[in-house]
Amino acid sequence: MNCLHWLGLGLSLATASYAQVIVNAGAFEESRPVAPNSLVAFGEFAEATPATANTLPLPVLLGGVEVLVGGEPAGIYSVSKTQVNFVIPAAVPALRYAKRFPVVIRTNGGSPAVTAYALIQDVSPAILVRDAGDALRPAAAFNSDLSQRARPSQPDQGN
Amino acid sequence: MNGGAVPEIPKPPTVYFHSWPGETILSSPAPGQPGLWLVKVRVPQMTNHSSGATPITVLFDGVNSNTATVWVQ
Repeated sequence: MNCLHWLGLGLSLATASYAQVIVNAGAFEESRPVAPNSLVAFGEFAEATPATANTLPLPVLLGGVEVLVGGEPAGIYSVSKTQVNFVIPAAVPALRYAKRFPVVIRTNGGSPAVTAYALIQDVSPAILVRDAGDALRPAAAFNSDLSQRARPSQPDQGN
Repeated sequence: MNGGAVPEIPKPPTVYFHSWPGETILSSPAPGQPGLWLVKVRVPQMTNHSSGATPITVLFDGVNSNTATVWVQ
């Protein structure tokens, strides 16, 4: 069977006013809103102690870092000094049309903190990309036998 | 789950290969991975395009996704 399956997720967007933007953790596009229950990413947070969650539900405190989205604590996948990955809480009220919510990334003690924002709407699909630096944006797709078809060395030649 | 409750899905997403829609076989939360969804889709027959780099997009509840690439043979 010619069958692919992959992981899809929410998204994100940008504008002024806040210095930092929350982006979709798969597509890394700043031109779209993110959605509740979607995996997102935030940039540099030098105070983070690198850590990766290994339990479910995801912890709301990881590597000494906590994230509040519109005041709601977010489950955190991983933290490093260059990226914090977390899930937009379902409790954030998403609207049909995107609305901006403040996002606070802070240490457990509450300081220092960084305030960013996330533009959130109820639906915002995105395809997880294996390599955001690749201009062709290869999808995180698998064959039906769970094998992965790597990008051919010669563009436009199937492998 | 801190990632939140599973949202209701109005109807399955449609995955497009170029402009050809694939048959969505499964759309569900990815097991053990909050914030991610798993979509299974059958690759459609694509007239005049049978192999090579193929752009894909997802249309879900009237909203388009980003464009990514899969390689088809």
